[in-house]
Amino acid sequence: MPVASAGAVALLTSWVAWAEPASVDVSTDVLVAEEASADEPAAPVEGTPAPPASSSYGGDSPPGAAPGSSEPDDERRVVVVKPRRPEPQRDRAASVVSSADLTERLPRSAPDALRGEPGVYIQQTAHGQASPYLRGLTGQQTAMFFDGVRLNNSTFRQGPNQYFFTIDSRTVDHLEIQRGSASTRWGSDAIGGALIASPIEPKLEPGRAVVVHPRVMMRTTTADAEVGGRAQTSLSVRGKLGVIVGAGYRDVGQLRSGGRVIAPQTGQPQTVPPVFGPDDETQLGTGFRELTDDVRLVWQPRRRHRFTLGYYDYRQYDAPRTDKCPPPTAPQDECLTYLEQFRTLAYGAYETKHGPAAAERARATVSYQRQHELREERRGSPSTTRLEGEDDVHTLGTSVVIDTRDFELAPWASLGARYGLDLYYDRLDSAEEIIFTDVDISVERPRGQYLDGAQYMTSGTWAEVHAELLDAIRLRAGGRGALVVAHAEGEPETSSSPVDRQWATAVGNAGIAADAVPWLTFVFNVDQGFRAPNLDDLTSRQQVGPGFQYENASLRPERSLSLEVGALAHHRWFELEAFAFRTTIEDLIQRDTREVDQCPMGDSSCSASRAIFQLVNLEGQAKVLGVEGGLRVYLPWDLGLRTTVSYAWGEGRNPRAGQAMQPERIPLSRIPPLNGLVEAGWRSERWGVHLVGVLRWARPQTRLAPQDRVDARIPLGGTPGYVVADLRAGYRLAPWILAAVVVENLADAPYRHHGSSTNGPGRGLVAELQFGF
Amino acid sequence: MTTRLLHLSVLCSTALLLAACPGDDTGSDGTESAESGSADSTGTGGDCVPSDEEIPALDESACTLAANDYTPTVNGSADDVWPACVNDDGDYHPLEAPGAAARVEAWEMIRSIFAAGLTPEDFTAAREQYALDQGIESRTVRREDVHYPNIPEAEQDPGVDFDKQCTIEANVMNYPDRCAGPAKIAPIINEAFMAGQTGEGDPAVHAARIDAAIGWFMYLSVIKEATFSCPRAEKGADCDSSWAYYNGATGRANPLGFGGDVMDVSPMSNERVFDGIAAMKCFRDTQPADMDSDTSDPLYGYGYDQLDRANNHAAAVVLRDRLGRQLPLCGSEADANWAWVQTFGQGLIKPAQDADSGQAATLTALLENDAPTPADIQAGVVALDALFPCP
Repeated sequence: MPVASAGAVALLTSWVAWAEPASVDVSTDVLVAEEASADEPAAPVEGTPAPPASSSYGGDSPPGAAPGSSEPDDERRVVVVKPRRPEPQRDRAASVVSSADLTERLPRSAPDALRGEPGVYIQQTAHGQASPYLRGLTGQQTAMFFDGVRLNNSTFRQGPNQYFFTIDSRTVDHLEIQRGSASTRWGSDAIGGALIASPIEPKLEPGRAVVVHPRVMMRTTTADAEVGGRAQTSLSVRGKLGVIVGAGYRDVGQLRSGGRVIAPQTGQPQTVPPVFGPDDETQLGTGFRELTDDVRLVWQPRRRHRFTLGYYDYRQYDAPRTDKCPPPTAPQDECLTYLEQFRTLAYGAYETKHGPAAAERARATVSYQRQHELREERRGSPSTTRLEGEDDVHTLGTSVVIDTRDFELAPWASLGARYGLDLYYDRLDSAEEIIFTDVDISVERPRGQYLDGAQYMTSGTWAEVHAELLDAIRLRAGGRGALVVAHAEGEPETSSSPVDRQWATAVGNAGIAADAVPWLTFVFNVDQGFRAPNLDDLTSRQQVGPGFQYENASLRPERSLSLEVGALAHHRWFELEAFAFRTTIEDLIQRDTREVDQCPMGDSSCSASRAIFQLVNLEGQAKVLGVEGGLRVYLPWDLGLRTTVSYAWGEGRNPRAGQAMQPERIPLSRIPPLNGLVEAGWRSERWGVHLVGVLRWARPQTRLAPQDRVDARIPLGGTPGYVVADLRAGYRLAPWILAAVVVENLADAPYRHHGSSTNGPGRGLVAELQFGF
Repeated sequence: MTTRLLHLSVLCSTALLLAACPGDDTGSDGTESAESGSADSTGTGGDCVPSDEEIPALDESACTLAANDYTPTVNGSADDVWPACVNDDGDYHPLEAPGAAARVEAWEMIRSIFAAGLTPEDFTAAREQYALDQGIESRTVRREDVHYPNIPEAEQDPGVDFDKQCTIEANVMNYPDRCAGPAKIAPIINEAFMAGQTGEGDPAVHAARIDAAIGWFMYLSVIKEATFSCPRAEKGADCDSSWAYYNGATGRANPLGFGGDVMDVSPMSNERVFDGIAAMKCFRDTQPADMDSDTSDPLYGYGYDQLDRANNHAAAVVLRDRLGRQLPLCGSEADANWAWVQTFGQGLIKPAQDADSGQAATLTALLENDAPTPADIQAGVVALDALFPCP
């Protein structure tokens, strides 16, 4: 099969994932894989049209712009015409949330869209924040990308963070999850895996002078009284210039849950967080406002060349951090609020294809990203004190990805390669002031959360080679050389040490996939990962979930080795993926408890805290083991079943080992419990209707790290398990109308995702209505 | 020893500053002090004539240990009714270093700042210390006075921890005595800082109120942490907090903060408070750490009585000393000292009422008197001695 077709089929496979397997349903806007235009760049170059699975040869998601054939999600009414079979890009553990999935799930955010995917677990410290766990790791141990531009910056903190939330899910065409270490391709931080978001594209319509496709989306929910929407317009000029412009807004109220969860240790309802309202269901430290705007311009003067300019602006306002609203020990009206959580991304990309053999396809990107946070901590009555912290991260980045031609070495063997480089440079502004509101006097603190003016660079060059033998065995291998540099001036008043560090490292990967039969593939992969300490590790001081955390300027990089073995089945009646993995991490950076007298001199915030932590490299090896998988069954009459399951188990050396009563090894923090989902539904392309029942479940997680036991987000003894039922329904009259609803948490069950501050939504309705043409 | 010397120098400096303008009855803004008194009153403004009268010297010679007291400094506790405890060697051995010590350090810093000057900028600098993250303010706004009855269970929020009920505004409104921190102490501190930062009134008076209110908070914290929080499941470290609130997590001989004030006037009281805190720790260590303690255990009652008695006496001798200092003072110096007395003394009203309502009435009347005469003060001292005779 041509590579381009492979990608397109993958797209189609995803789109009608539950449609009758071999049906040929010719509806309007059919995109048939084999009819993919020659104008469309051939997959697997990073620029493939929205494939649901990773692109080939190492599983890269195509971060590049989709070609002219790519359409706004509302118009993709396509049908599979090819039998399913293992695709090269499925040769490692990965899954994709397609635009169809997004339409059906109606997620509250980009992370929310990932719930239920194998190996993924979503934690929420606040209603306006969410952090995806990949194979038990999150935050700075996962790499995030938007259209190939790295989102991770040097302030990503240990543990969960909110930054994937700053991707507007309504600008996303599909989300790809690559599980397991993947630093060869994605650089530092890709220890647990990588999350790759690909944006919706303007539709280029050759042969037509000017074509406009406006669309309005309106959305509301009952559990959190969300009201919002998005308006966007896609413009095509002579099939060569495409523009898509959009803006969205939503006002999200306080989240009503099913009630308090029961703490396993006490059998009693969990106390704060969150603080509940008088109805004992409404969670007070929740709600936020959100404004987004984006412009995407694609110019394809000739079929070999494509230019893209993208501008994505996300602005979140007044988002309380639930576990700090209030902290467990504070007045009930004390609150830490993210007054402003902004991310602005602007970039330009150039793609070319049909180049020389050594660079048949290429994409170069230059980007600028600004992450802005303005935090306000109101102490609550009767205090008149307010703290404000402001951090800005300016990131300049560039990356180049090049694919060689696939060389046919013999009739039974082909060889190709992909290679590239990337470089991202951060500059950090950080300040904090204390404000006495009764006298309107503010005093600047000696330092902010980070050291002001700190700089950070992460870079690397990489290459991956892939080969296919006998049309049944695929091999891949690659490596990266990386250089990371960190620099910060010290701050003597608070005994903040200067940082002047650099790390050079090399990582590699290798894998083999063998097709036992045309529809069944066995894979074995070895991937290395690394994460250099970032400015958060090296310079930050902050109140985190379990307590006060201060910096360690002497940290070493983490290095991981991920082994996975799995099976992928693409049968006409079912699809199966099943993986077992073992990730070992050397020099894992974790929090270790500290005594008051170990606090940095001059930092009273540290010494006054009940629980004090410092980041340290754990001696020895930490490991995360697990299994994960998913099964889709295709039944007659457009009926289908799907189930996923994820399990991870992690432990590392106890930094207190050797002391009295201290075990040698302890659980890693916030490892998600055994969890999964079951779906059963009817999806009729013919009628444009879907009706799906969903059961989401998780076992209790009572295996806690020491820091988990003092983390107010985790009930005493752990997080109880749950079973939550949802019902999804929708109707599409393409391209004019789409109406979809989700009735969530039918039983109004109280439940909490492990490590979260908020309980999940109570029984309620999520409704979305789209109009357009 | 160094810490002790530092403490003394800070205290002396503060006293000197509070006495910086003897006979000056105008505030920093040039207006007459609000607390003007009659000519025969002690020197709270007006035409002050320093009194040459004195209060009787503190006499604790008749004080003996109670039968059920924990006495680690007497034969290593071998002769008392208490079981073997970790603190039998006379030192205090915490589970972990308590963060409360940093609050005492911040209080000492505030005293240092005020000792160096009382400009609006000094008040802002001092307020920074007060408002540090997890600092004094963070605990003042929820501090309970456990001498008053607990908030009825029916009115407690089950979603809020038992010892955080005073973080609920309705409880603060309905139970201001129990919720003394947010209802009484914090407003005094905030108003004094605000006035000091804006240059209104007499800065020495503001500084004195701040110092006294923080002292009140520390005094309440000692008994609250040890007897109310510490006995609960997983709260054993709060006994350590009691120790830290008392003396900054230091040894017997070199206390900071409230313990330092006590040590200055009554080393015996300092010893007895230390023993009382150690007694509660000893009791807690006899109970399962992960379960609520059995407060019907006699040891709990013994420890509670010992600590409460010693802590109240310690506060009383500190207050007594301030009363004695009042007599020869005039002007701003006297205003400041009396403001200190009136602020700090409020903490002792309920223990006084519980001990002897008649003597308590004398004490209360004195504290409400803005222009006390020497006789009033001497009567107050007599009442204090009667109410809290021994540690």
